[in-house]
Amino acid sequence: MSDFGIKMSPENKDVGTSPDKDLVFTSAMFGLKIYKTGTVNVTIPSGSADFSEHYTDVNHDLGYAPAFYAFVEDQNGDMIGLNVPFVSEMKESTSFIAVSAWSDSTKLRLILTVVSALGTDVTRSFKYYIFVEPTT
Amino acid sequence: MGDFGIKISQPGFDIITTGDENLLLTSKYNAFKVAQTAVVDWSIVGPSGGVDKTITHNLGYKPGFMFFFEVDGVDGRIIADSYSSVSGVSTFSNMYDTYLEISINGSPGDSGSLRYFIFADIIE
Repeated sequence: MSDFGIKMSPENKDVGTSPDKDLVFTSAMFGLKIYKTGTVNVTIPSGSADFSEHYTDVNHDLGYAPAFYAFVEDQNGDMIGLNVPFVSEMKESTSFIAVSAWSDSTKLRLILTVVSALGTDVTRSFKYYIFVEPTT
Repeated sequence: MGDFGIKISQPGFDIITTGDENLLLTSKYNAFKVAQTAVVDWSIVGPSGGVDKTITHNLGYKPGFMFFFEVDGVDGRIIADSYSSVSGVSTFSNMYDTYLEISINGSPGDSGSLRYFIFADIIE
């Protein structure tokens, strides 16, 4: 009686024979469920010291450190995949920003760190996804 | 006969007219499915400054994955990828057909835990 549940295959795939990797859905596995998503900005003021951190917190009330994912806008306004915690971005050939993020039981922190001096204010937009699934 | 399948919409969205981005589930698209997840403790002992954690999955192909780690309870849970660094501890990961290997490098005495998600979905 253990072989029961729901499977859903995409068009042209046999649900009876397709491996799990080809299924749209199977009740044998769960997916990451989005608890909260949105867009926030983080600004580095001009003249900020090297290695100073600038961040925006996104609060949640899950009570544990959740899984998350985020994308950050680059200097051209494009959203790039954020494989945090340490992705360096080159700006104007001579300046660098490091991008990072972490979660704890109350918030997701999205961080820009000055790696080398910036002559102007820099604002970057983050698109974030906080998942229901815990990391603890 | 091509217009068939299953859709589930979020509350407040008309399932007939809403865009795919507002659906909870649609048989039109594949989705990441978690095949395996667990918390693994790690600690660095001895002079080598590193520890390797091997997580067996036996899927027979290289699946997608993500993991989050913390160091001595500092800085919450960091999402990690192929190379990540925080609090003086770096991680380097490789996915193989039957296992995920995560190498953690730091100082003797460093410890923490990580949560991994291995997806059923292939990345090769």
